[in-house]
Amino acid sequence: MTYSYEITEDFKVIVKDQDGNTIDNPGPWQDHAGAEAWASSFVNGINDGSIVWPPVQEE
Amino acid sequence: MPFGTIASAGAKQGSIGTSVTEILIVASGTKAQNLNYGGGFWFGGADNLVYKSNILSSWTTASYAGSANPNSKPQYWNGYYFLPTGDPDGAWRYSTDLSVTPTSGSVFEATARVSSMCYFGSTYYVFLNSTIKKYGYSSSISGTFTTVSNAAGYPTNGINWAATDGTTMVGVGDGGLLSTTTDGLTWTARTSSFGADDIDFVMYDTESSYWVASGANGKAAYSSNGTTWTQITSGLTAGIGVAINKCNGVFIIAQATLSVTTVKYSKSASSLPTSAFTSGSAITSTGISNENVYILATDGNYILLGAGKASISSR
Repeated sequence: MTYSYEITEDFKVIVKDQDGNTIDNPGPWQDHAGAEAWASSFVNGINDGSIVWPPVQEE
Repeated sequence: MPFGTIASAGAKQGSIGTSVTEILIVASGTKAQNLNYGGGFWFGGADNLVYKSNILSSWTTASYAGSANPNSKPQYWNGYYFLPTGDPDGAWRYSTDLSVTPTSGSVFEATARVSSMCYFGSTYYVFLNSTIKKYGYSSSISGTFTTVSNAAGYPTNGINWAATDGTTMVGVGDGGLLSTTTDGLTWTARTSSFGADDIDFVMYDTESSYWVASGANGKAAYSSNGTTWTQITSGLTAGIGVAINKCNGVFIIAQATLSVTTVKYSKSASSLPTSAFTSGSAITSTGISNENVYILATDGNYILLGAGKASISSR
């Protein structure tokens, strides 16, 4: 599964899977740069497997 | 993953980003869970003990009278140290003096883990981080706690941490859930800005009159009213969770790295969390493991950063 993201005009992040389903929509951030930095880090992380998604809930 | 989870033992003291000096918090191999400050002491919970210090260079331990579950996060409210046992047995303890064995508090749910306390409106509130969706309150810390179940607007995953500005109480939980109340009974779910990520910690800063919160995946946020939240552009990255606190007039956000020996941090340019955050030089300690940063506590003068098997003290 490959993930992508969009940043809205109000600096929210929409993370989508390859089928176009929204899997997370955090934000808003203070600015576009903040949203972009988090989104790129997050999407790169789940795409390369270094970030586990969905998060594992601790009992 | 809840705020406060780290492992033992060493610590470093000095200025952030410059030289640091190692200090020992608890015996090597003992799991330290978190750090906090109150009543003139730094303190935290470990396996069946509570550790404390008032001069940072010297730490002592006392019986926790709890369990060995590594999720105990002591707090300090209204002159009392609040000591959840960590096991999912609804148990918690309290004491005015960390040198004596703490007293057992009222158990109102025997199958869930006590996670947090908040003293709000002359009332003690004890929360569970559980989908049982139940909490208790009492006007006396030694009294029988009244139970509230399935309150509308209350976080469905329970509350990991709660804080108050005196007017509003904010509770944060797993899955990005954040709710507020002004009477302790009527809760309103808010959009936290954390998306689906866990929120581990929330605090109110009286100096700036801002709320701040931190959690999983590198996220931290601020709010001027507790109800509307904005993610902070911290310069830290997604992945491992972060901790946030205020020290020497600025906010600090800290994060472990996947490197086994490094803590990253970022600090605000002013006393407001809305100001720009600047990344500092990574701090290295030989004792740090690759577990998350979850120690970030301050008495206003000193700040302790921690990760994995060590922690770092700075001022």
